[in-house]
Amino acid sequence: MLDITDCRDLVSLQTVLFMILFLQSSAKLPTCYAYIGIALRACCRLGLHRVVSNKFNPIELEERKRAFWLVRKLDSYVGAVLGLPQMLSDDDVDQEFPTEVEDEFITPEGIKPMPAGIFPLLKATNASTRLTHTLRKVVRYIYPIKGLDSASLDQRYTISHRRIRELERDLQNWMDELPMDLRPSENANKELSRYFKQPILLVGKLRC
Amino acid sequence: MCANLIAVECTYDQPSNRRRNPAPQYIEALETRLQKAEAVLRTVLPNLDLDDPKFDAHSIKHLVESAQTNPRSEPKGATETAKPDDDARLHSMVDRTGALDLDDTGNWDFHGQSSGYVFMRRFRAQFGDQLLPDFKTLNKNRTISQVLESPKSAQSSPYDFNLPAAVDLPPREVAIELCCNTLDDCCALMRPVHRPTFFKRLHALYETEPEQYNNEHVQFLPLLYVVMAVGCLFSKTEDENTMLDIKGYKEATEQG
Repeated sequence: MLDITDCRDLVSLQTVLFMILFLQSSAKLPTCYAYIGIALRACCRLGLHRVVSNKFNPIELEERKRAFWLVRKLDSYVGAVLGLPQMLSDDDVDQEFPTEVEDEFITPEGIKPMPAGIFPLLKATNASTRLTHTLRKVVRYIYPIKGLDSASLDQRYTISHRRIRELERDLQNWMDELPMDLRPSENANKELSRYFKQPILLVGKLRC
Repeated sequence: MCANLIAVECTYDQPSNRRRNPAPQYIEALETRLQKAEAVLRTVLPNLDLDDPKFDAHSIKHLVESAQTNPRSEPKGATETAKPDDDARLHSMVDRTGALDLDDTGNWDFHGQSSGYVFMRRFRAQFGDQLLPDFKTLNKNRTISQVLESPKSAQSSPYDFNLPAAVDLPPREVAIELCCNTLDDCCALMRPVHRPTFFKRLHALYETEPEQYNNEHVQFLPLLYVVMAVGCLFSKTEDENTMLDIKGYKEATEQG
């Protein structure tokens, strides 16, 4: 029904995305990693990682952004948990974040203004996407591959405390930018930020 | 260095407790206590070099004595202790290479540095098994990779090629409920589809006879199957029959 290696339209990509969510939810992370790789490459083929000048209707435009950032996020998380590399560098990407509006207000004709008092969930989505930037940094700093003293036979290595502090600052900045509705009064997000406070425990915590 | 040593000891002192109920305040409380302890140390012994590489080798008593005998008013020493851990080196828990394993069937599996697998291995090597009672009992019967995989997937054959090529769609109400499960519960925070458009396509599909499906319908069909499959995982009713059916859909889709 679907050739996932020739995924050239949004609906097929969304299909692969839900397959990934299925696999993730049934705890088959290594398989997930393979599918995420396929999805990410498909994103690039669809040009989702770039801002393109083609004329899309607002729904399609938002779906493109959402699909891309979701794949990117999954790639970061699953890569970090499995200790396997990311497939896209931040330098390759200039796609914008999805517009922070609830679905009902996005129509083929345009994005309608949202009435006051509605908190779009996409704000939370984008906040968690921003957090993956720090996650990538954590992996880069705490689990470096190159630039270590390769002469020593000892397999252990050290990490600069300054870098840990930089990560902690990043997390603090992220917290400061968090919309009021998502501030620590809500447990879910508090937990999320905690996961990253102790980078050495990061992986163990992510598993919990 | 002293600070880091304390941090590590405190962190792993009672890991089993924290694993069960990881109180977020716990780490913060530890950090505050550590800062206080450092502040007290610095006030009492301004000459004590927390970064002294000999710290491990020397006894604490000796260090305290040498700190006390040094002239207190030495300005150079004071400025040095004022920024004790600016670029201290922290020892990493894990080795710098990951782990490459070969299983009985000849499959390779690489686990990188940041993976939980490597972390747990290192943890066990360093602290032994006694700190991880629950993990140990788990491990008696299953390998780590089996712990990471879902138990269900190990039993049911994931690809049953006897399935009919096309599985009939469930009644529309069931489909809608499953899709709502997926879109509203499972991926409320990471929804790659525009909800109204998705349901518009779903209704269009149900209002068309299978013989008259156009390109758009055919394209949407696999998406619908998979979304329902995910919805089933998050189903509140836990109906066994539906579960199996949907597994079938999922497999059919993957085959396609």
